[in-house]
Amino acid sequence: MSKSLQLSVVLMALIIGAFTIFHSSCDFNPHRHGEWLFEMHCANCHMEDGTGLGELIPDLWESPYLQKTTIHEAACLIRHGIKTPDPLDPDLEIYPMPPNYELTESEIANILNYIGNNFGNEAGYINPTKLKEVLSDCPNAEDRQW
Amino acid sequence: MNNFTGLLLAGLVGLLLVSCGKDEQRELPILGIPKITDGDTIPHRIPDFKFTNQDSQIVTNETFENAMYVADFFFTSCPTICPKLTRSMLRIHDYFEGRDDLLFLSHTIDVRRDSIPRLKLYAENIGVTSDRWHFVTGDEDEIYDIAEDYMSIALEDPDAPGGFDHSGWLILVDQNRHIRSFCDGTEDEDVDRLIKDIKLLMDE
Repeated sequence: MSKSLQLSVVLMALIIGAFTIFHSSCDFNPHRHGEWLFEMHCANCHMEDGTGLGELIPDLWESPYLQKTTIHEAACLIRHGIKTPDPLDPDLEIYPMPPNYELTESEIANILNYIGNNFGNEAGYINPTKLKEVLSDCPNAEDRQW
Repeated sequence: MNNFTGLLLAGLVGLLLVSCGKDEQRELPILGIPKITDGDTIPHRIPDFKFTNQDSQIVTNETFENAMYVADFFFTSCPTICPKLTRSMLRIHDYFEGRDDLLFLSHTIDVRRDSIPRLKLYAENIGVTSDRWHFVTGDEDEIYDIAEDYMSIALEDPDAPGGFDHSGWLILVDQNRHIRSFCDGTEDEDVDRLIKDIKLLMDE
């Protein structure tokens, strides 16, 4: 290989490399941690694309529960889940949505920031003070409807 | 170029041609461990079974006599991979809408909780009204045993989330009870591959 060819190959590689780095910084994802937590704790049921499963698992797209005025309440849902009497056996109680006691307050905030600003939702940023307030005073899991 | 590099290059080109050609006219193998009796090799077959579906109908091998089917193992209260498996099954089911030569068989592995009404409710909740998809329950041991014939794992395990442990394969079985392909029902790309394999099997 001639010297000039070698040089142009190296130059080419440098340009491609620089372009890649520049390009990826444009795709900055402000909800990366929330997205990661969502995939770990929620996507098994709500699916990675948030579309859920028929009437069994709610679709998160344009959800009335994930808008500016409602999203903080959703924190209780994530932490305590939903508990209802079994429709086929009233003596039994089932969790249509299981609780997630392992998640910290900031983790719940990150998940809400992710789902509240993706899937066609426009909740804006979670207010941490309000989130704390809501989480410290969650209604009983049994009283929550879905 | 010496002889060796020449040979190596020819070999590489040959390998490329072979591997490209192979994909064009791929034939699905018969999977599973064959039995050898008296020098004859008998390919693995799904044994006889008898289960009951969400409409209280008896489901046996005869239900699938003139059709290929996709089988999986799940339970309705499963908190882990089942929703994703069911969604993948649903995707295949909807993709081949109206094809009566492709049926679906979902075995519950939680026979105590998943009664017939519960299976019915589950099917309704995910929007399955066609009679192409059988959600079945039956004798617990029979289900756990047949899981092995589908190269799958299904067992009760108090340490597993939801109380049961099972694999997430979707298994494609042909009209002769032979397993012809399978995929990981939790991976969308792998499910796409199974859809291609189903088309191949339909063309056989």
